[in-house]
Amino acid sequence: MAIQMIRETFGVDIQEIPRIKVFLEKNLVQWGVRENDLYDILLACDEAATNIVMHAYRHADEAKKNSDSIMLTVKKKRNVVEVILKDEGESFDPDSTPAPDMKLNLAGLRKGGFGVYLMKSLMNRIRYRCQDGRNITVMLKVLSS
Amino acid sequence: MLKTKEKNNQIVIYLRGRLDVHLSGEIEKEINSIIEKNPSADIIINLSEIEYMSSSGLRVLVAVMRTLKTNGRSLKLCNLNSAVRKIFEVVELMDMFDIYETEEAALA
Repeated sequence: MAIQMIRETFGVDIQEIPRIKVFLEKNLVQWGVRENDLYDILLACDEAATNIVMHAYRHADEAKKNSDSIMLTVKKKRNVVEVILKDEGESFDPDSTPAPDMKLNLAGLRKGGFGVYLMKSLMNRIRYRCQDGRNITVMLKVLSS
Repeated sequence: MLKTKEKNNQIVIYLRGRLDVHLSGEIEKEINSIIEKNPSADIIINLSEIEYMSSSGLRVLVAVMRTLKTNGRSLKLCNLNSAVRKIFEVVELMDMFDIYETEEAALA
């Protein structure tokens, strides 16, 4: 069976996050990905891209943000969708993020922490590596139907 | 501008559209403004018209709950659609929030 694949680059900017969602949704729907799986993939990708902008580029100056990009590649083979995000910000390993703690959040001692947890929960597998100065996040979703 | 309704010293805030990283900061400011303008009221957030929510939206709701609890006030959520409910379930927050099926039940 042929692999379906799309690739697009996006700016390192919060304003780009809705654009990523729209691009991904349009293509996944065309590939026949159904509602529950679709929402899981969109949300996981949103969280991964948000982490890149908010964490990997937290200390970057405007020039670097403007010159860099987030490269999104999505593949579908049979019932598996693979989402790959590449960026050149600071390394950010999702596995280094502690699980969310509501008590710490309510005490104001920690903000959030839910994004990585959602990514790990909604997708079947998350892999991260830093290679040649690039962060590469790979997420796999086995479609339920 | 967020739509609101007042009943029995409870303010219902209606959120709609996307509650993601792009918009959550602005929405949080508006909710905080409503909380400040109604210093003794409890808050109900009606989520029926939220079409998409990410962890940025969750963070806003947690922050609102923290603000209200600090002042001895309460936050209720109502009308969660299936997608929003799933997020709460995945991160195991269903028990941490006061969640109602309908606005009427939250107001009662």
